[in-house]
Amino acid sequence: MFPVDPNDPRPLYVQIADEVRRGILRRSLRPEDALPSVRELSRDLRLNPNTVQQAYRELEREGLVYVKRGQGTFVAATAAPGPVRAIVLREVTEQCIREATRAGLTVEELIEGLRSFEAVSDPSPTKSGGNES
Amino acid sequence: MTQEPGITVCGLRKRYGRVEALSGVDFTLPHGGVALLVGPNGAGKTSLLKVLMDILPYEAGSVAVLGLDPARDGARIRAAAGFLPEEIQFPFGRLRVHEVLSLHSRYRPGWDAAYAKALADTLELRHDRRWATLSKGESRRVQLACALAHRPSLLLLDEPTDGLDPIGRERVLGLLAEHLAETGATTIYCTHVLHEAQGLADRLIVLGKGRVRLDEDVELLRRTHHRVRFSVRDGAPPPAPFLLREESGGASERRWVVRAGASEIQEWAIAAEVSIIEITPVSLGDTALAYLASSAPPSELEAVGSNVSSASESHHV
Repeated sequence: MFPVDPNDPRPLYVQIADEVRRGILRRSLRPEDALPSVRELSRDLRLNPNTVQQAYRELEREGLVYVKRGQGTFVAATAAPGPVRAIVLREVTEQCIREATRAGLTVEELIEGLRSFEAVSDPSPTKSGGNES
Repeated sequence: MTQEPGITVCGLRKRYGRVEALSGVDFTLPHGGVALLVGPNGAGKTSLLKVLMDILPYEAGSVAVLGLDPARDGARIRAAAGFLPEEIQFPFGRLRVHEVLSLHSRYRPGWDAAYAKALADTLELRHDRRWATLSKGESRRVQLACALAHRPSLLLLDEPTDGLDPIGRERVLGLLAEHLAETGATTIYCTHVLHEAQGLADRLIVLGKGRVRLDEDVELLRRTHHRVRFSVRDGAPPPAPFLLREESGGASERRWVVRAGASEIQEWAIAAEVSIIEITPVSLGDTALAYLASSAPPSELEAVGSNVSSASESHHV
């Protein structure tokens, strides 16, 4: 299911929310798909249920998921990959910049590196929709 | 949820003869809170749990567990609690596992037979084995089933994964998370294995030499504690008041766990003429480790703490 890493700089609930957004972007989560229940996800990740609850609340605020009383949390019909793309891109960019800064590279060098990388290999996602974790 | 009482302990003292195990313990755990209780051996963790359960009397202070005083309502607290002691003293070694479970079911109000069966399956209990022949890990698993099957709203756990293999540990932590999701149980989880339980906790309590050295919300800890990696040109860096633990102290590069907000660290770095490589959050397990490793007396920690909480508030706004 969703992997979380206590040493990741992002808080645990943010990591869970990010995984759901990425799932929507990859289309491994589609409208009306059920998310794991708070109980299941807490058990599988060995997390305090409030952490999972917090992630789901944030996604609900963003309109990406909705709660059906007594039935669980579902991906919203309006949760199209398009709008999610911007949020995920921003978050991935932040990670890249953090990693580059840590290594002593400037943002300009990072951008240059990405351009030349694109020239030698094709980084566009495959049709299979990528690996699910 | 905030209205219902959790656990409140004020000025608690407990001594064994001339040795004082608890010398003025104060903390409050809200209803539904999950505290990770850590401390070196002999810090008083086990004594504290036993006082909460009225297994041990206490000499001074006040204790309220779910609004009840253990000295007066010990039996009610024990009935409401899922208690997993560190050491097992069970005098009926010839009993088989299923008999141990049924013995517990008789004096536990709220025992849920279906849940007990599910727990026994998940924990892979072998019902026909005699208690005395069980390995440490296996008897731990039986005890866990006994502690959880009445769906207690209070969990007092002393090293719940002790003696279990890695898969067993994962299962038990998963079961506990599931239990929390279903019951919202107020929980104290004592352990030396900080990292495996860190995701369950929303509060960290550090006990040292019979006193509470730290009692804080996990979210607040996350905002006020950082790991800073920096390089030093020549010699040692100047002392920093917020240093909790030096994790790595190489000649050119250091890694510290500090109690400070990012801006405070930056200001120090400029004044100290060191160059920062990165400032990152610290996992709860590593934060707990930093407090266990730091040998500063409580008074010094309090001083550092008060000064940072004001700094972090302004940082947060």
